[in-house]
Amino acid sequence: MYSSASSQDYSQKAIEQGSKRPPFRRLRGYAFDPSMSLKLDTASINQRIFNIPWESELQPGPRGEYIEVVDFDPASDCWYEPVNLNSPNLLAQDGHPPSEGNPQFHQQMVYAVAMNTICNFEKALGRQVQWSSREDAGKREEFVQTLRIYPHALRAANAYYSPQKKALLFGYFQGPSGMVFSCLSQDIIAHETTHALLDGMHRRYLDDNNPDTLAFHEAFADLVALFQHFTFPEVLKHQVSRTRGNLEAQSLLSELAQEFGVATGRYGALRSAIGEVDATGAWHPVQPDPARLAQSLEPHERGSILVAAMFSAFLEMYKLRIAGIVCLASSGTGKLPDGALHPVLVDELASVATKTARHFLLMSIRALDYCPPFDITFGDYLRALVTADYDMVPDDRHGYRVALIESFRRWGILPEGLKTLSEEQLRWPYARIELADGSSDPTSVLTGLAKELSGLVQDSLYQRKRSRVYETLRRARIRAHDYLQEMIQSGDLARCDEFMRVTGLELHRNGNVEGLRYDRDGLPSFEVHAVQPTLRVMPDGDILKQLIISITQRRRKLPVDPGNPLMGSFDFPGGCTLVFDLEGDIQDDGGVIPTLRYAIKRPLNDDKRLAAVRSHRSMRYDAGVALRSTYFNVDGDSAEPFCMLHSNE
Amino acid sequence: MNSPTVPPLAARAKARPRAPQAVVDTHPHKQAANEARLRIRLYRHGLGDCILLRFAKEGGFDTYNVLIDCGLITVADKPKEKMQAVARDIHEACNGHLDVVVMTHEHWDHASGFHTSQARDVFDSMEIGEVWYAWTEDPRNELGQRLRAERAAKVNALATAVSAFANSTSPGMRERGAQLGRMLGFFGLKPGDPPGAAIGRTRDAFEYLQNKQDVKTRYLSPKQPPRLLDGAPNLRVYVLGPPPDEGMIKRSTPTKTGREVYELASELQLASNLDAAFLRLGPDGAPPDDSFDDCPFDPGLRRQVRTGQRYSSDLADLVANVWQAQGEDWRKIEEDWTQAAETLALNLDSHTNNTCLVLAFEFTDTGEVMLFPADAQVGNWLSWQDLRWKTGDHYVTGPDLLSRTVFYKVGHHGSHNATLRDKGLEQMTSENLVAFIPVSKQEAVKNRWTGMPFNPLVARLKEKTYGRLLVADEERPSDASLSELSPSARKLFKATVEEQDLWFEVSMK
Repeated sequence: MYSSASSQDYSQKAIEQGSKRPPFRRLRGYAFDPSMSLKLDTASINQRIFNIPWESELQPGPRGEYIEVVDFDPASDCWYEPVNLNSPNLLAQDGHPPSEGNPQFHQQMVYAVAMNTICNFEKALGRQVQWSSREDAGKREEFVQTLRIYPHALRAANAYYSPQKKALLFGYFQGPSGMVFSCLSQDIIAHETTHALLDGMHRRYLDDNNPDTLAFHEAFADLVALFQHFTFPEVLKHQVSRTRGNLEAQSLLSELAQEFGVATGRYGALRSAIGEVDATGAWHPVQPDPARLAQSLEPHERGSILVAAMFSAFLEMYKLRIAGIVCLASSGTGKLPDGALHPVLVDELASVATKTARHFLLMSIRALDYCPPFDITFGDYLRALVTADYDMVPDDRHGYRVALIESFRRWGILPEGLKTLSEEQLRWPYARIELADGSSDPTSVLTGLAKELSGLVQDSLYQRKRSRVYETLRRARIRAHDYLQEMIQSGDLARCDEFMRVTGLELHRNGNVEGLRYDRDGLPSFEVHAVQPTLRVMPDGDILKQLIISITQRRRKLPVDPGNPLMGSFDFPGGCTLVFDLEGDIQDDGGVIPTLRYAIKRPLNDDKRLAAVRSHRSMRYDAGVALRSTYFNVDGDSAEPFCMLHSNE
Repeated sequence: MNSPTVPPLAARAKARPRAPQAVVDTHPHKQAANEARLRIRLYRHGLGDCILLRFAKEGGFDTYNVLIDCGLITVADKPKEKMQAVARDIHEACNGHLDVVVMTHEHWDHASGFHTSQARDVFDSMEIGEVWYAWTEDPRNELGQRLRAERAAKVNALATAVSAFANSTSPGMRERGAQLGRMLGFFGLKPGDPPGAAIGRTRDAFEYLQNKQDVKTRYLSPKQPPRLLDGAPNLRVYVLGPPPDEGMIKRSTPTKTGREVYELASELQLASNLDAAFLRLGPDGAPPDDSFDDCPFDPGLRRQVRTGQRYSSDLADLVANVWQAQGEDWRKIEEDWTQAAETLALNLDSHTNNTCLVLAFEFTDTGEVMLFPADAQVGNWLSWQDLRWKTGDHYVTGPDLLSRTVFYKVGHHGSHNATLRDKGLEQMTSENLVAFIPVSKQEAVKNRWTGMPFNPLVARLKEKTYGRLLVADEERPSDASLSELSPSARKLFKATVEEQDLWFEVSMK
């Protein structure tokens, strides 16, 4: 880590001693954004305290294990002094008080919100998060220790995650009444941090191969920001008493990025997904319309449908779960008395909303482990949600999954190729490993692979430093690659075919798949994309240890339209995500062997999918030549995907 | 004028033999007797608009002449020769008399011909009755004033950016500067020009007729009733745009989400804020009296690492061990913000294009409409949907005019966002539609603008016109591309279009 002689002036060691180590660092911040502090009815709830896990080696910046805030403002050609959160003055008062005019508070705010988001991810995933690795000049993969955050990077109504720089760039601009800082909006920070976290898990989700993938990136970032809001008890109590328990009414919580939204019109998509203000100024919730999905191709608009589907499922669950409380409070009539609600009732309702929101938040994040490694669709996500939740809570006592399925159906989000929408149909099917003659294969390549890796991945669970974890898992990926290569070379065709059937990969030696690379020995190229362990404590006290392996291949530089070279080319991916239960089957000797649970595959040789990607790419070519690309050459590789997506143009 | 003195233009020498059926040009006065009630001359001089309409007057021997724009993009070769040829051809075709000149908007590729460096001398020698501008150019109109001030502030900021980027040591910045410079060509700025010279030149050409003696200036708005042209029978002129609404003028992309409620009032400040920031990037850096008014924080909070100013050891540590750490250059963000210049340029371009004066000429007896939208973009197009004029005992609406359009001058050289699809081209349902794209792909490519024209739009125009699409830098449609037409319609079309190197001319009977 950083060596700094200058930061010795505070006595770090004394704080860190054993049991005296504080569990949290308390930091003040805006619950929404600065504009809310200027309104009488919201000023009192716009401050909140974030409890951020104590980082022992936090340097001025702040710079810690996950994040480094670098406050350089290139448009103003200057730096701002970095905040030292370990200074006693700040420790004594929970950091700087919220202020627009103090850049050190801005640094504190981005740090607090980004860390809060990271914590939620780690809670859901049962492992430490990593940023997406970087390819250096020699195409070698490089570990990225920290996400860099520039709170004042742009002079524009924009903020984005840069996958090239592994950085969040926040902008500020002259609004109608003073400067507007995107780095002071809790929603925007959470949104951009989520982009970075999602990219760290699924770096192929930036490829625009179907209408859903980029929309998913946006929607997921909005969802995390939204549900995180509902986990603040103070704000929630205020809103519950204001809306008399009816969160469906227009509430602050469901409006992302107030100030920024008002000043730029951006982030308004979400608001309009949940409700709309009509000509008379009255607010109505939007009615689900299954036809809208087919018409919305622009990523934000399409993404807002997924957000709306998740959000209405959340509201249904909330209503269901408060029914009993309302019944008690209304002497069985279900109709609450007029006037202000009793504070105890408000507390109870708010705590149900918090609990439900937390469940949805963790469920949304956990589902990412059950998604295909590329080209995700909303349907895939629904299946991942249902499966992940099933693994965690097999008995759906409260009906979360039913609520989700119902809501997705009402919004017209249906997984492709399913005949019915029952829960067991929606769950990814249990993988079956069998040889050509139908007999099961206890010593299959897949089991062997998981066994081969289980030692290394278990090690990684007990490593604290993320760079060590990365190194361990990188070794696991290399070992997996070697293991599979040996299998191909061994010439055991039955095994190899079985492996290909389960994974959708194309591993024939000396094959002739268009665009797939073969080495000198005729071995097809493939990539062990990710190896991830998870350790999850289920509500019933069991511990679920899983191993997730994704393996991918690419058919490179296929033309979008063979007849029109102007339309460019694309890489067509294929492969799978394999989910193993590390302690699946019990063997005769009493030990356990890993068992493959799910194989979520997208076969490389799938002409129908290839045709769909082609038609999507040519649609984007036709519709997407924006004025910007008429005048400015946007080079596909160097462009900032989220910059364009997030700006107004 | 029985035997016109044809200037010895190179263009002329190569002219193809004329089709016998075509309306012959050599005899302006007799032509009127040739029953063409309107001849639309579409100049093919390059990337730029110049269109001459000649309406037959009652009595048959005279024409009412309307010139819509006269300009050429800055990168074109030999601009003076080309525009001189165009202007002399106009002079000759209308016998030195223009009843109306329409100045659609302040862009070099629509106005350059009126500049002294090109062909002002020719126009000086002509008799010009009226000049028409959009209401946004009216010096007495308050919103118009503000829009012009914003435009000027943005051009200034961009000119500053272009010169700052050109002096940068980074190749990426220099490229960005070059791209911006090409776009500023719309305002007459040539690479290497000092900032400030830019807007002056286009402004000068654009206002030439406003300031010319004996030319009546009119400012047109969709709120006005349709105009009649003196002596041209059965003709009405409708003003479709610019919309009298700021929100529509500032709308540029066809999004459905309604996210274009950009806070309009702060744009002037936004532009001057960026101007100050670009200035700091320039070769001289910040001016000595820089008060940092554009910066987000109190100047006392600024820390400059380069100038040896005092700052804390925390910041020194951060700069040395993070920002300047070895192998970490890829994470720097010095240039990312300059993308704001592109956004500003696009926003300037769209807003200017949306202030285009859009005219529809209607023959009241046949109901045929000729549509000239200049470079109008989304907001302008959308506003036509709600237009309604009372003429006699019935109403004429915007969509109604679109549905009767038989001649369409394709907007903005065929770019994708200057021809609206559902609320535009698809509403042009006439079987007899003919369209013209004033484009030079060679000059567009020289500016590295792809998508001008935009291929899917060209394809759709070919379908909608059954092949009767004239493209300035191509020959007129071959028989093969007209195969969708019935033989008689094909014959008619071929008879009504004359092709010369300098222009196409479409005659309407």
